[in-house]
Amino acid sequence: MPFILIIIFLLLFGSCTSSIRQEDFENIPVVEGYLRKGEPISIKISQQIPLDGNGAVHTLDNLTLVLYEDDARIELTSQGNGIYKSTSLVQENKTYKLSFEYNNKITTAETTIPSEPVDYEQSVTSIKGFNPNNLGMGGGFPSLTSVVLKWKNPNQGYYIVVIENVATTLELINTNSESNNLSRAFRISPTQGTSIEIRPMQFTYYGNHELRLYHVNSDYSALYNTGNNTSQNLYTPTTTITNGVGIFTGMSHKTLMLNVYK
Amino acid sequence: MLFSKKLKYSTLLALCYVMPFFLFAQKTNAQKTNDDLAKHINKIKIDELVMGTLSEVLDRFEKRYEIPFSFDRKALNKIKINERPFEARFDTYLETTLSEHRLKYVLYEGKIYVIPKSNTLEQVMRKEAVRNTHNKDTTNKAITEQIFKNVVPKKFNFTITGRVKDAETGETLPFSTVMIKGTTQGTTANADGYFILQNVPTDTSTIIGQYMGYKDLTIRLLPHLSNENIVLDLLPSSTIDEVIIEGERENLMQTNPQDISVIRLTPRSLERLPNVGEKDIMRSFQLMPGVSASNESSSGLYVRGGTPDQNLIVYDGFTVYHVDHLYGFFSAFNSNALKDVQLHKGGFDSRFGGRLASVTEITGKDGNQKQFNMGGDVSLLSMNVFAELPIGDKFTSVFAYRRSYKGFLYNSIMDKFNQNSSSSNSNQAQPTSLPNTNQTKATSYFYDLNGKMTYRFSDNHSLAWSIYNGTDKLDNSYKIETPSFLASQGANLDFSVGDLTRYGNVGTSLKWTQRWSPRFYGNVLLSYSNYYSKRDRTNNSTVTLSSGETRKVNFGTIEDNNLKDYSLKADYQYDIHTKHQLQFGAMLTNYDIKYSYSQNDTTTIISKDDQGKTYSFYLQDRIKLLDNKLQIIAGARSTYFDVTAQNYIEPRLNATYQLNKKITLKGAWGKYYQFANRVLREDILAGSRDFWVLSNGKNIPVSSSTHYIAGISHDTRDYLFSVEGYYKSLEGLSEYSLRFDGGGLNGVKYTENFFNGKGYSQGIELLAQKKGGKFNGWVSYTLGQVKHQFDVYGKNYFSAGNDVTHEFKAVGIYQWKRFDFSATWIYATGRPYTAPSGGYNIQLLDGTSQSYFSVSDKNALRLPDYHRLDLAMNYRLQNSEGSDIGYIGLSFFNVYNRTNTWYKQFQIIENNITSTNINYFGFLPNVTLSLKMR
Repeated sequence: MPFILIIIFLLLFGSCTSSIRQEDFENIPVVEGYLRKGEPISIKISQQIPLDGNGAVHTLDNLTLVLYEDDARIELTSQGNGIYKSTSLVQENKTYKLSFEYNNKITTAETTIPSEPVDYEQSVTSIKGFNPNNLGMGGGFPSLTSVVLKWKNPNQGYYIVVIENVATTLELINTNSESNNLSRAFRISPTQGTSIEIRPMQFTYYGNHELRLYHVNSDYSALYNTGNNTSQNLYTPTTTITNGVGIFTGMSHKTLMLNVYK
Repeated sequence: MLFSKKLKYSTLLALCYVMPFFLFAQKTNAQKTNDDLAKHINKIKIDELVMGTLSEVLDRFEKRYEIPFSFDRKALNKIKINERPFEARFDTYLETTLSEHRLKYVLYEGKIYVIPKSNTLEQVMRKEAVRNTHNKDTTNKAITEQIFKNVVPKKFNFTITGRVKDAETGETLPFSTVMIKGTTQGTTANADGYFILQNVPTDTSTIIGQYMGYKDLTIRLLPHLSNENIVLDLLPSSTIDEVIIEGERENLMQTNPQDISVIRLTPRSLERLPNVGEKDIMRSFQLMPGVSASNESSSGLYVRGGTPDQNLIVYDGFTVYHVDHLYGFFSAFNSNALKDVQLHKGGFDSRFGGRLASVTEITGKDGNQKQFNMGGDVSLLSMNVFAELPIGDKFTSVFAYRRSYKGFLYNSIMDKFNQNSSSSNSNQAQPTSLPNTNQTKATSYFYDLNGKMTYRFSDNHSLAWSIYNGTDKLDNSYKIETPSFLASQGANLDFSVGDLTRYGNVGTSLKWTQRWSPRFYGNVLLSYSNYYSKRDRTNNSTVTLSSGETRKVNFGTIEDNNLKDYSLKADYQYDIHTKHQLQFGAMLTNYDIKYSYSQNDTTTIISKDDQGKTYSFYLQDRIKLLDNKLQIIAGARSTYFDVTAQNYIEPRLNATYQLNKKITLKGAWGKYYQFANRVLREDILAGSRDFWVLSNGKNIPVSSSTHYIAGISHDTRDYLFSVEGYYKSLEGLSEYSLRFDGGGLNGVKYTENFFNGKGYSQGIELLAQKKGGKFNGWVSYTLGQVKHQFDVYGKNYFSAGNDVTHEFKAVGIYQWKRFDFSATWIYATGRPYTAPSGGYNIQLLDGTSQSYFSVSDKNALRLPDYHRLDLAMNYRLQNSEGSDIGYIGLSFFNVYNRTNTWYKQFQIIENNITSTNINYFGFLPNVTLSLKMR
C-alpha cells in the first residue's frame, strides 16, 4: 500500500512542481547618474550583462532622455559611449525626474539633491605621514595626530567621506609596500553620525588631499550593502529606478584640504 | 583496583536480576520468626578463616550456626571470599562482606535472603514469580510454593501504581511503557517515571516495563505484596552479553503506535551512529522521516517544511532559543547529560504552545541515585566529562562539561565556514600594512555545561534545579603587535582587526514536582532562558607614544541581540478513570528582546527593545473508547498576548484507532500560533546570522499554522511500517532584511524591512524499521513541498528555501561480538536558490567599481542533489565481567567524498558573470574514546 501512496503523491506533486528553468534574461537598462550639486549633469545608460554574455558591455546611445528639474525640462544630449550630458548645473534641494523609453518600456527615476553639509570642520590642516620603516632614531613613534572631521547632522542624514590625493606627482609613504598601483582615493563607509577620525596610517601617499564630505541619499548608501552576491541572499539594491537598475541619485558635498607631510 | 572490582559486581548484580532461574536453597529450621532469627544471629561471634565461593561460605554458615539461607547459587558461586575475621559480630560481618559485593541480606519468614543491594525483596519475588511460572523444572517448585504460597488471585480489576527506573543508577525513565502481558492494555509513565495502570485484571497478572535502550522487565503481581509504588527497575540493554532476554529491544528510535508524529531517541544509544566529533541528538533526529537532513550548516530542525525557529525546544522545562555549536555543524546539547528526547513533528498536545511546527522535548539526567559515577569522552573535536554524585537517599546531582579544543577537526570546520565569509567589501579604510609585524590569531572555542540537582522530600515530592549553558566564541580577529625593533625603542603599537562573535544560551529551571495521589500529579516550574549573540567587528588600536601617552581608537560595527524569557508554568494530570485522563495547566512568559546595531561605539543605527507577555491556559482530555481501541485527545490552548491585546485560541484534536493488534489508524488536527520569531539577517555567511524579534501585530504579525495529519502504522514484534501524510497552512510569515534604505527619497534611515507572506507545506512520510536483533535500523522516504507567497516577490507561490522534494534515508546498525557497525545514507533533492538574471557594474564615489545583480524569480533554480554516506565502527570496552565501560569509535563522514553544494557565489569578472559553488564538507574521519566508571 505504501507504494500506491507514493505513486499517488508523485502524480499529485508532479503536476504542480514547476519545471526548473532560468527566467529569460530581461533586457533592462542600467542607469548610472550621480547628480552632484553645482556640477553639470551627466548620465550613463548601458545594458545589463547577461549570464551568458561575451564579456562586452553594450552602452545605449541615441535614446531620448527626458529630464525635469522640478517642472523645468532640461535637455540632455548623447555624447557616445552611453553618456548623456547637459550644461546646466545641479541645484540643491531640487527634484530631478528622468524618463526614457527602451525596449518598449518607459524607464523612470527620481531624486532630490540633498543640502550641502553644514559646519564641516577639520581638527588639523596637516598631519605627519606614518611610515613604519622610517621612524626617528631612538624616538619611538611620532605624535601620530589624526584628523577629525565634524559636521552637523540633525536629521540623521547619510554622509560619506572620500579622501583623495590630489598631488600632481604621487609619493608613496611606505616605500616597502608590496602593493602596486595603490589607489589615490579611499572612503569611509556611509555614516549617520556627525564625525569621523582619519588616522595617519590610513594614508598611502604624501601630499595634498581633498577631504570630500558627501551628503547622500539612502539609495546611494544601499550600494554599500555587501555580501549580496551569493545564492542565499541575492538581491538587487534598492533604487528609485523603475523598469531599470542602477543608480540615479543626487548629492552635494563640501571639500576641505589636508596636507600629509614627511 | 576498586574501580574494576565494582564493575565486576555490577555484572553480578545484573545477573542476579535476570537469571532465568533463581535457586532458593531449601534448608531446615525455617520456622523461626524474623525476631528470633535476628536475636539468634546477634549473639553469634565469628572467628575463623572464611574461604571459598560465597555460596560455599553461606552453606558452611548455615550448618555451623543453624541459620537458613536463601540465595542465587549460580551468581554467588562467582564471588570468592578469603578473609579472617577475629571475634567479629556475625551480623556486622555478614552485612559488610555482602555490601562489598553489592549484596545485602533481608530476613523474611524466618530465613535470610541474600539479594542484590539495589533491590527490595518484593522486587526479587515479583521477578522470580515470573520465572517460576514459566519454569518447568520441578526441583524449584516446592520452594516457589513455599514463598509464593498465596498465588490464588484475591483482587480483581484494580489499580497499580509505581515508577520506572534504571536498575543501575536509579534514574527514573520518563515516558516509559507499562503493559499487562497478553493484553493491549497499558499506560505511559509521565515525565518523572510515575505510572498508574488501572483495570488490572487480577493481582497475579504479569506486568511488562519497557523503555528504549533497556531490556524489557517482566514481573508478576503477587497477592500478598503491595500494589502501590511498585518499582520497575529496567536494565540497560548493553549490560551483559551472555544472557539473551526475550523481548529485548535495542533500537535507537522508537515510535509509539498510539502517538501521532512522535519520535523518541535514547541518547545512550546515539554513540552507535556515525558522527563527526560528537554524538548529537539533533543530527540524529535529522535521520528521521520528515526532518530535513541535507543542511550541514544548521543543527536546528527543519520539520515538515518548518524552520528551526518554528521548532520549540524545551530542556527540563525551559525554552532553548539557540542550538548551534560551531556554525551549526552540531548541536549544543551534550548527550552525556541527557536522559530522554522526544520530537513531536506536528499535531502536538495542548500543553505545548508558541511554535508553529514541532516540539523537541529534552529531559536531562537526574544523576545516579545509588553511587558516585564519572566518565568522559575525547574526540578529535572536544573533551567531555561528567560526574554523578548522590548524597544520601534523597539528593542526586549530575554535571557535564564539554569544551572544544583546536584540533584537526575543529580547524577544518572553522576554516570551512570562514573561507566563505571573507567576501566583504573591499575599499574600506584599511591600515597601511606594517612590515615585520607579528600577527597573532585569537582563539575560538565552544563549551557547554549541564547541571542538575534533585532533592526528593519523599517519593511524591521533589525539587529539581537544572542549569544549562552553551556558548560559542568565534574569533576571526587578528592582532598586529609592535615589531621588536620598535618595541626596543620604547614605542608600543597594538592594532587589532576584530571579528568576534559570542553567542549562546543560558537557561535554568526550578521544578517542584508533586504527586498528591497516584491519580493526581503535577509540577510547578519557574524558569529563565537567555539567548545572547554579540558580533563585534570593531578594529581597535592602542598606541603608546614615546611620551608615555596612550591613545585608543575604535571603529567598526557592533551587533547585539539579547533575548530573555522568564516563565512560570504549572502542569497537572488527573487520571479520572482508567480510560479518562485530564491534563491542564497555565503558563506566563515575559519576553524581553533587545537588538541593537551600532557603528564606531557611538552611533546606534538600530535599537530595538521589545517587551511582551503571554498568558496561556490549556485543558486537554484523553479518552479511550471501544475497548481501548480508540484514543481521542481533545484539547484547547488559549493565549493572551499583551502586545496585540488579543486572545489566541488553539483547538487541537488527535485520534488513534487500533484496527487490530498490528494496524493503527491515526489522525490529528490543530491550530498553532507563534509570538517570538527568529529572523535571518542578510549577512548569512558570518557567524551570528540570526536574531529573535517579538511580533508586534503590525509589520511582524503573530504567525499561525493549521496542521492536518493522517497516518497508518503496521507494528509487529520486529518491524514497523508507517505512513503519515500532512498538510500545514502558514499565515503571517515574516522575512527580514536589514538594509540601508528607507524607501522614501528623503526619509533616509537604516530600517528593518519586514516582508509578510503566507504559505503551505505538505508531504508524505514512509518509514520501515527493523526494531531489534543484531541487525536493525530503518529506511525512510519523505516526499515534501513547501511553498511561500510574499507580495514583495510577486503574487505567485515560490518554493521556500527549505523546500526539499525527495528525501531518502537509510540507517543500518549491525552488532557483531563487541563491535557495532553502522552506516547512514542520505539522499535529498537540492535546495532551491535564486540566481541572477543579469549583472552590472557601478562606479562609486571613490572611483572603485562594484558589481551588482538583478535577480530572477525567487528560488527558481535548484542546487544539485545532496547525498552522503557515513560509516562508523565502535568497539565496546568491557571489564572482565562483561560490563560496558566505554568504547573506541571510528567514524567516517561523507565516505565517498561527495561534493555537496552549500550555495553559489556570483561575481562579475571582466563583464562576465561567473558562478562558483561553495561546497559542504568532503570526507572527514573522527576517533572517539569514551570511558566511564559504570
